[in-house]
Amino acid sequence: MSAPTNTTIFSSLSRAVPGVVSYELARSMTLGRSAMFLLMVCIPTALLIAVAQLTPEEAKYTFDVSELNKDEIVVRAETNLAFSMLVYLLIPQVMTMLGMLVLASPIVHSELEGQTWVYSLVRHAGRRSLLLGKYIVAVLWTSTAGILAVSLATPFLPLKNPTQLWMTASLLCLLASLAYGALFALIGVVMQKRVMVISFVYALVAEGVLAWIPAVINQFTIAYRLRSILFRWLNLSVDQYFQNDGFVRNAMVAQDPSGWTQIASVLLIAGALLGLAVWLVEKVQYSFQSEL
Amino acid sequence: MTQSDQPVENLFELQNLSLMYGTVIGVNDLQLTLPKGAYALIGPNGAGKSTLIGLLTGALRPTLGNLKVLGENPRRCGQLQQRIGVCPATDLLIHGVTAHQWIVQLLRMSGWRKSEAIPRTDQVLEEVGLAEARNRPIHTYSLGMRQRCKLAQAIAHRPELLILDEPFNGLDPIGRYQMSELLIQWAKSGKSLLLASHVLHEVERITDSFMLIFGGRLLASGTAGELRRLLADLPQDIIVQSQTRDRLASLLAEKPWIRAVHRDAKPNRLILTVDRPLELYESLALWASSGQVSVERITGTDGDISTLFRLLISRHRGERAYQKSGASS
Repeated sequence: MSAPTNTTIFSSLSRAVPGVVSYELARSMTLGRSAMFLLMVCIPTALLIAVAQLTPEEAKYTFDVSELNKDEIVVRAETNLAFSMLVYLLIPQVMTMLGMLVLASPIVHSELEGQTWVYSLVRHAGRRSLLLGKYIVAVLWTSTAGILAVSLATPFLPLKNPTQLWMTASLLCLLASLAYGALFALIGVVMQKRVMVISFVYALVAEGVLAWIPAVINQFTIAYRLRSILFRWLNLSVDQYFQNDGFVRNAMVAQDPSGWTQIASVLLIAGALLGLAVWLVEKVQYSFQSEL
Repeated sequence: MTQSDQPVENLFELQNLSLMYGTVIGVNDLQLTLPKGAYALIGPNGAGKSTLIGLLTGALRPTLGNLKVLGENPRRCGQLQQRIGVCPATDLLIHGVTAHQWIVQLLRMSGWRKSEAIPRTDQVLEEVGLAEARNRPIHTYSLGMRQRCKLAQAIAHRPELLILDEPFNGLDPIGRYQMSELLIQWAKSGKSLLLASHVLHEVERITDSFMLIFGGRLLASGTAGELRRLLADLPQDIIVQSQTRDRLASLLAEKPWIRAVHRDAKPNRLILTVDRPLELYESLALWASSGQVSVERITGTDGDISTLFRLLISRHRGERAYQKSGASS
């Protein structure tokens, strides 16, 4: 048994990343993290169920008055659209984004602050494996919370096709975790101070405001891609809202007929941002005096 | 190429190495080539020891100059990290993780398989005396145990060069002894060692090769004996306890190598600033044996490394006189 001295970075990473993932998973099984997970699941679920309960029955369904047979009850199209959008906004868009902001932004900063960064500096695949491993753990935590929240809320919502929404929203949770995680990890690698604040401002401005402006700039946001997937996969129509403005209609949702292009786009964005973060984390010189 | 034709791999090769933190100098124009071996890097806090370690490990990029560690540029050779172990000065503040979990993870970050990392971790924890506590969370360890845990991670991947920054910080006498023993064994095994400390006598047991660093500059290097001779040749403060204080003061005042004579508030004590301490010792012995004065006790500042640094700095700057603030005649 001896130290592997001639291993390539890829073989080192293939051993190091699973090591970091299992270590970080074991380390994250704390009361605080569990409470945060529960909040991530319960808050959007409770909000969705509350809104559904408070919505009047006649606003939810079209009743067949002559038969009054429950099987004949049909969810109104606008209600279906509203609740589908609400699920998307609360869970993949807001909860997942904020979850990744909290978990992925401080990947490097928390190590610097805890004075443990120095130990990864002197490992062959140290910095890169730490970044990738913690990113994977953040994606696992957040996407699991998102999927669980969607699973708990969907049965109580007035939807035309709950299964379809559950599948789409779950996929969006995973995609949002991957993309936002890569974005915030990159911000965390580049910025050494006030990482959370910068990430929050970016999320608010780019994903909260720019993504909803009907202009070309919104195509550079992750929210635009996620929203387009939702509309395509659920066969939702924005025409009723933007009947008189074709430009706005086209600008709010991508015109890709299948949604697969948008999935590929999100994965490409996530891959590019994460690749850049992994490259930079090896190049950036972090403050050292506080570490040694 | 035969083995004898191969170039000798030096431990460190520093050429005009400088690093600036903005306008603050971290290390300044270091020029040094050292063969493999055990060395102590001595300097007061803020001297540039940690910065130099940062450069040697590749964590910091030099502003000017070049460096090689074990024949490689640490910024460009990832494989070099497999050959270096680092034990930083900062305390180990990890919550909810056992030493075993932590070291296994670090070994895997070095590219080790899990099946190899686990038995190696058991072995190294045994070596540093933490086998019993291996499954206890690190945050429940004493400071001495945390220091040993840091040492364990540094040697776990079997590096050729071990770099330690202030490994004795916060240790009690037993902990210091145990740490010294571990490092003596490491040096005896023929592996290289760089030990940064601000206390000279702590590292004397481990190695006889010293480098003195101050203000980012390498001021001197050599053995402990050479450094002490250097100290003896430089002005220093010496406290003399004498029942005949006034008589002694008048005798000393005539000597050209006496810079200042200060009557202390405590009775029978003189504080002397002396250019050539050896001549003082000879004179005191002569006067005491001839009955001119009595000398009860002489206390030197021989072990005060910061005095040595101040003196070396003033010599480095070409200052003729060394003035100790607050000293008066």
